[in-house]
Amino acid sequence: MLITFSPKESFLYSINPVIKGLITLFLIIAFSVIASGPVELGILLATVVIFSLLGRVDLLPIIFSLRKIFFLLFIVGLIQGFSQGEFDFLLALEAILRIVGVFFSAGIFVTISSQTELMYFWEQTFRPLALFGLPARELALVMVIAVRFLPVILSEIDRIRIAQMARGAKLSGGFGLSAVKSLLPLMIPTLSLAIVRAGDLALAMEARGYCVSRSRTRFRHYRVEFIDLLGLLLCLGIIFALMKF
Amino acid sequence: MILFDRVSFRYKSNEETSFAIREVSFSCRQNLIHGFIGGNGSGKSTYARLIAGLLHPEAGKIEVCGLDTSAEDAQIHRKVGIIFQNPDNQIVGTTVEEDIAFGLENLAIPTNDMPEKIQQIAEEMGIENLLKKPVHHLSGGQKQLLCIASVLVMQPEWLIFDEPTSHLDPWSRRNFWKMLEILKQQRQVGIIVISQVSDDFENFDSIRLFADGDLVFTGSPEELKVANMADGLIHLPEKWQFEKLREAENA
Amino acid sequence: MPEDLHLEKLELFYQRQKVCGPINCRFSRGKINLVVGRAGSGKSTLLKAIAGFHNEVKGSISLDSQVFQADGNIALAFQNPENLFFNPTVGEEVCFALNQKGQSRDSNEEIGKKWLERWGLDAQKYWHKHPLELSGGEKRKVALSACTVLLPPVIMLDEPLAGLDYAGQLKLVEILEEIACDHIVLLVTHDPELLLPISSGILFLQNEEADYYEINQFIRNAVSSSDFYPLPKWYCQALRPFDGIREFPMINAASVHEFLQKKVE
Ligand SMILES: Nc1ncnc2c1ncn2[C@@H]1O[C@H](COP(=O)(O)OP(=O)(O)OP(=O)(O)O)[C@@H](O)[C@H]1O
Ligand SMILES: [Mg+2]
Repeated sequence: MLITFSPKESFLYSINPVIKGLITLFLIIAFSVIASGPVELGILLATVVIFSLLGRVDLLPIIFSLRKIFFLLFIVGLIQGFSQGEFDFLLALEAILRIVGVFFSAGIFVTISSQTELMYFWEQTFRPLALFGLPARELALVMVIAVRFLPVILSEIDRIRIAQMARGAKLSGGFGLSAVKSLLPLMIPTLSLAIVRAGDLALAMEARGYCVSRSRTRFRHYRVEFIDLLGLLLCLGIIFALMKF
Repeated sequence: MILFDRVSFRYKSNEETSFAIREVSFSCRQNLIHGFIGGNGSGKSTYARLIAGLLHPEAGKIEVCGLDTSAEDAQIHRKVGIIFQNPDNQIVGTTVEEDIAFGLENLAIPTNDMPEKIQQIAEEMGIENLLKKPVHHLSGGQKQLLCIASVLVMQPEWLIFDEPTSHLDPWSRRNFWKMLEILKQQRQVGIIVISQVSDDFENFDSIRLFADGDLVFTGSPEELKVANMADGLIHLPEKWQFEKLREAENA
Repeated sequence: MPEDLHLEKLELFYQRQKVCGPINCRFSRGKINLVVGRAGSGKSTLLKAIAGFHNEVKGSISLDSQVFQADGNIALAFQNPENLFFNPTVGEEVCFALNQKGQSRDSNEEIGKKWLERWGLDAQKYWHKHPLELSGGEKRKVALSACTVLLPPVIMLDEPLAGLDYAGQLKLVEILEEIACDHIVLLVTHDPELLLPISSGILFLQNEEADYYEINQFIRNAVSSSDFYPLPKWYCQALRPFDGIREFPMINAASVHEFLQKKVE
């Protein structure tokens, strides 16, 4: 199960994409740098979870993916726990909650934002850069392509593993270094293949009249509504309330 | 109307041995279902890409609806809708409605007019209850319907299908041909269907047989039935062969 | 040499929703085994489940009464041949499984070329081409070659006829008939006509259920009721008067004609 956009109808999904991004950003900052104890972090995480459940977000893929970084969590927990000499369970818990919180916030953002919304988000976020003469639109495009192709490349690796087994070749399985080593020589062809496939997609786009230089209209317009601002304020309010100065 | 005037084409102009189209001329009339048939690597898909303005001839001229495909390919993309062999390589949006909207955005249709057009075409293709669905949740047949809807919404004058039936189950194949008949009559489009399935031949109004980049036969299914063709060039439908055997027996 | 692949109470799920099952079925060697059904009935999922690529399964799969270990024992030619490709040239693509196993590159290349030719591609001409720069049917042939060079005990093909021209389809029948002698072959298809002569039976997936039919039984049902499975109309019409017979002629003009002549006599 990959964390991807899975459309539903709910108040969370209908928030303006830029506000969605800002809320996510604040949450990530709150989880990662703001000084709080495990109790406050726990409450914040619980709030996030409750809101996303109310907003009909499917959390399963996120929880599922969390298993993949389980080892990392464990190590971080250990290191933090022992950072003061004796093992301190609360310190370990705090560190773990921080990572899980960031993971959840980002995961939920990806789950509730479509490709078009992401594109719009980046375009708007980079817009101030245009004031300094930087190419905002192009930068946004780069971000979108990066966001779009990362999962493609990751799933390509999965596909290739299966494609190898599909021919009756027994893989020199295992995890860790040996697995990475056996995949390394495949990275170059994988990338070139991803580009060829992107080429196929580009052909299909061209066939349907897409042209970078021509102006196009948009299927969706995004306006910031009162309710969006309210959501943003609510989020900030909760974060401040839980902050320990 | 599609016009090929002494068209030549090669994928890699430096390789002597590779596939080539040499000075081929023919024309296709609107409002008919044209079948392009021929063996693997005979050039069917290449012809489709040439007509859609995705490839350009090395020499000669291709005209679609009076437009030169080399000179005005942006116009051509609007006039010719093409549905490729593999639906996965042509779905652009993340949800069904976004994918249908993509073509409209490129046509610079005002945002307010989009939902109605999308709803209309989705109803016509019977996918109106899938509009909000993510595209990777669709079955193969549904993906094909989506591809057709996404192309039709741009109101093209020509529709090209590259081997549409080979991945459809036999039930859906019958529906597909019914749908094409309706499209032809209601929308007045010209249709080109590339096919390997000999049972499809009966559904064509006109057939073109390709071999090694060359056009070797043009005619109606009836004419193909009785044509004297070199051995192994084409496999006629078993149904026709059976009819022939029965006729010979009765004679 | 494998004898049979046994599915017991196999149930397939997709995102916690049941797709198909329970399937109880024995696929044996000697002749090939067909799987048919509507789009979305779970045919591809079944093959992937046997190959171990799909894990939402209940029930058991055994090969010759032992729990089936898919890794290294299966070849699966996907419905979309492009999904199998990851090498820069046709040659490397075809030889990948062999090279992985060791042995000398030269002898591998020879085997690879032999298989390409068997599937109907000029090995010399295509060896150095990029697999994605081929026509649809050529891609199919390369994918089939890549899946047959090694020949593990269980060979699975997902709609291999799609995109192949008639000559290619005849080659497929000929090659599979030979492979089936000492391998278990499963084949998903929408066009069973050409394959019936070399098949032992048909697994028909429908409405979440799976029924196994012996070939003549399958044809009989299809001939007597057009709702069962759409075989070619001319065939059903010609044979409807004879639906009590034990053995049906194959679905091609010559066989049916011969059959009818014999009946008249
Ligand atoms: N992108 C490409 N680059 C180079 N050569 C190509 C490319 N696409 C196709 N070819 C070659 O051109 C020839 C004709 O290909 P085309 O795809 O038109 O055949 P086709 O008639 O559609 O065959 P099929 O029935 O197998 O789909 C083939 O020999 C193929 O190898
Ligand atoms: Mg083709």
